Amino acid sequence: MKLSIERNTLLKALSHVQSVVERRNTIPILSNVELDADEGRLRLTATDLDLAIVEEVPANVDEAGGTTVPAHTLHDIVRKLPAGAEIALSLAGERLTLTAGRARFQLACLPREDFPTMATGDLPYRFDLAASALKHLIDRTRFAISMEETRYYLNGIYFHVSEDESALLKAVATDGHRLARAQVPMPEGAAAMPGVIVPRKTVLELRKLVEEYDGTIAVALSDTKIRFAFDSAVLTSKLIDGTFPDYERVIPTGNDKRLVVDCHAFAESVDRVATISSEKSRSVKLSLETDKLTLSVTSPEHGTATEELPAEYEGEPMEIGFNARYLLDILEQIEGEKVEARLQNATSPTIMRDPEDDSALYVLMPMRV
Amino acid sequence: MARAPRSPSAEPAGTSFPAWRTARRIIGHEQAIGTLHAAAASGRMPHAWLFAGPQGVGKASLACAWARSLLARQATAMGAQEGKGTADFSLAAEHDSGPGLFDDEKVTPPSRSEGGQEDEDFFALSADHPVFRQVAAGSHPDLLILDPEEMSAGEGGRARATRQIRVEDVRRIHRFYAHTASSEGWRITLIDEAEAMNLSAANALLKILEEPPARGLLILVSHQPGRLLPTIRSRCRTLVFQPLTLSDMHDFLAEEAPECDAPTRDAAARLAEGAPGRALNLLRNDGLTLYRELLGLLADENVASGLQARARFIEQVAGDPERHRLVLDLWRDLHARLVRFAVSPPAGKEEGPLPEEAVLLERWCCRSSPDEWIERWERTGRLIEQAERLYLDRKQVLWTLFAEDGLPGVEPHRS
Repeated sequence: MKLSIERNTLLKALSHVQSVVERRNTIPILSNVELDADEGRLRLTATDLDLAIVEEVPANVDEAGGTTVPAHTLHDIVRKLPAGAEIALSLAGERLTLTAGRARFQLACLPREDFPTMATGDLPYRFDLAASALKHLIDRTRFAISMEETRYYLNGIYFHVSEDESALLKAVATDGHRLARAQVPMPEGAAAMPGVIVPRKTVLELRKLVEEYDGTIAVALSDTKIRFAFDSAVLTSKLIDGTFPDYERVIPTGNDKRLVVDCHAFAESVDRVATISSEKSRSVKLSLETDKLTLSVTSPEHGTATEELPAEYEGEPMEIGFNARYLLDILEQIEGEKVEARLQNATSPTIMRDPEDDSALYVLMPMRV
Repeated sequence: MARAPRSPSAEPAGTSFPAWRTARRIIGHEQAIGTLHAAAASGRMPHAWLFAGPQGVGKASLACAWARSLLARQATAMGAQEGKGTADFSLAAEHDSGPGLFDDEKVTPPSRSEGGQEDEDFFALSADHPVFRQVAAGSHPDLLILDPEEMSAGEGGRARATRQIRVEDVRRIHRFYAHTASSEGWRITLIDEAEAMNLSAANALLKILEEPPARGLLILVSHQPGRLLPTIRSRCRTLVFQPLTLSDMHDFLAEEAPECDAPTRDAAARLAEGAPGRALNLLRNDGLTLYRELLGLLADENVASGLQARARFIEQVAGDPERHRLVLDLWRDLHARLVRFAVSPPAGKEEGPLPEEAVLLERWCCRSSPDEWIERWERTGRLIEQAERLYLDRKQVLWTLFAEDGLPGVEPHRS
């Protein structure tokens, strides 16, 4: 293998793939990135056995070939080289030599035959999704993904299509205390797809790839695998092997009390009064009266805090408590000026959303205060 | 792009895989292999297996080969993957395989299972097959190997203080089964030295055994199945590996270690107690010389020179973990044979591994009653187990063993 490549091109591809590679690995080859050079392109592959990213970049290839080298080391080297530098890579025996200007590195390689291959198998369901749509689905839901490993089927985002006439592609995440659902119009070809749970790490890596991308993404999936193909990068991932709970059940339909508040002011107030609340509970109490919302926190150790906000509210006065962190997480998702909450009573789940925007919905369980 | 042909023997330092992951054949165990074939053919595969039997008898090698063959079969079933993964399931007639315990020999023809069915031989997979390579490297997406040897070496250079399988290791199995399979087939977990699980790890494993994941297969390998929780044992199908017969051992060593002469091979075969892996280990690490030295020291009762000679021996052995472990194992077996000797002294012609040992056994035998020897053997076993698990000071362990067997000028310790 012998090639030369521009530093920024290599760095961009490396930064995509290296973030898949775990920092701590008992299996040496999993710390490595596979390099494969052929006819004007260099292909980089990294995997943690659950997901794999393959990225292709243009390069001047003198001699085709491939090997694997430590991903983080290579990334750090390339990162520290000056922008615009021309990097030459050449493989001799078990060493990869990297030269750029007067710098010269020799990296220990591992045989690429030992590098894992992510078999894709048959991916019968295929559709194209705009990057902006995928961004929306991920951004609005990922904060609610559960970190708890015992309920592993919540450790990801559940993608599925609506069963009714509405023709929507929906993304749902929940940790049992809150739930987020985002939806976009169903892309052509997605109608028959099974509901799949995409693991958290895949979601995060996917989000990084979507960040600087605004084309369409070719999605292909089966019951066990999902693949997202970008222009030059392909992410393939295993799915979570479990059944997502029947979440529709927990979205209340009969909440008749409607509260509308300025979203930004609400978030700031919640943040302010929550300063007082104890680290553990982080609870904040909302008292609702006609056209007035009062936030209050009482902590035995720290004291008390209250703040009043103007609000649209017409129902009977009521009090309800929420976890301040969860409330803020949801308010951060709302881009409009106002937030609308639909409430039932102090013990039932509350629905929150942007009154101007139907494409995302949040459900929050109250706390006892 | 054409992959440059690469001879596995040109492996760079640091990529030598444990021998059991690259074993290309196994001696004996026809019955065990037959059981596995039968289970696979029945369509009702038990989801958890316990491979039990003496150390070095070939349990992990067979487990690994079996896993390989299951994974390769599903790779074949899935068809060739682009780029890599072209399933080549043919026999490599005279393949140059990588360095390892069972390498450098011709591939045995596929064996037939008990029922006479034509099953693929577990060891038929060529060492160049991607599945073979990935399993050896531990990088197959549908195989999780928990290997205390590897884990105690530490992640990121931090060695562990004890040789244990901990709860966070077992949680890796939970995470492994939380994801779908990479190909449509088995998701296999192989736990080597399963007895090294601590209690919380064992309990975490129990959760998986109680609710086995679909298409999940767990293989526990243990040479001390008695140390596993009974609740774990009862949820596994146990496959007992018998020690090889002496003649099998002779055949094996004649092929694997042709450089040694017949008497040496015979002594190694007898010392290894029917475990081919151990016999090879003995031959490769000069174990017979060590053992003769040890026997000489144990027989030496001269106060002045005896103590010094022991100190020299300890100095020489304690520096090398491999040799240290070898000496400990030999010591334990010496005590085991002593017990056998004391309970039923062999009539007539001696069948022991070495003439030097026979002399020692005879002399020691009249020193204590069989009961006391049994106790001594148990104590030795416990000490050795602790030495490995807790990384006890190697020199101290050896001094303790010498003291138990009587230092010159000191009465043997009696508890």
